[in-house]
Amino acid sequence: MDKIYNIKYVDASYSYEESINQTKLDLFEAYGYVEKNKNNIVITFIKKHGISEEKQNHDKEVNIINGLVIPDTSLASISSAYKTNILDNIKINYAVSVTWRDVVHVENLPRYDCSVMYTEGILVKIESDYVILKDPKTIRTYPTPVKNHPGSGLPTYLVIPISFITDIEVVK
Amino acid sequence: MKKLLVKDSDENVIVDVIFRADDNNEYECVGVLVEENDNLIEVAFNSKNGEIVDSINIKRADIISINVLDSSKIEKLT
Repeated sequence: MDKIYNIKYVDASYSYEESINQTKLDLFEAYGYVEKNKNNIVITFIKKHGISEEKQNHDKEVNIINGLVIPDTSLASISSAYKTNILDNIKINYAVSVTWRDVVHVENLPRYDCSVMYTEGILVKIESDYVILKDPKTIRTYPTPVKNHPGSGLPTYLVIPISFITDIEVVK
Repeated sequence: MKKLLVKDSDENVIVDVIFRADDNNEYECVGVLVEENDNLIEVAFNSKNGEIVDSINIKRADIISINVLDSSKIEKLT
């Protein structure tokens, strides 16, 4: 956890505009203390000073004061080159349900894994590295309790990196 | 304390800062030094399309130590 990294990653995003002109995924760049936790990357921006590296790595009750947990597939190079056949039978204007892993901003919590989201909406765009859903209705299914997401307002569009998607199905 | 930001330089100054917070605990952070004046420094952790989205202001009086890191030695995950 004491290793310092420069990280470039992509993230999902909501839009509240009537139309969307997204042409590429937003690119984030962060500096932090990094550790891998299975298929999650934990980026700590602020940590308590004086806690041993061993305790930080093995005691998952240690709070991250400020940081992020991102899917390992959110790294910019992995996202842009990501290959999947998950969208093979999915077409534009289908009503779909999408299960996807989301970036988590952590403050004062012992949190070391990403959230899981479930979204229903109309698929309006498929690009090489992202999809766009119109009128998305999203719930966070992990961790419990299940919650509506985002917490406030009704987004008109949701942009999801394809590398975040773990399942997509046509809604009958 | 000596100023670390070089005006008109495009090079990021990456710092590791140990500081004392209002709760009297000591914390450590790393990031890009984006602002400094006689009273405080601002360290940015995260940017979106080049715009800062997450940073902290630290009072100079609360700084215990500050180290400038050699950016060429920082590992990259991109």
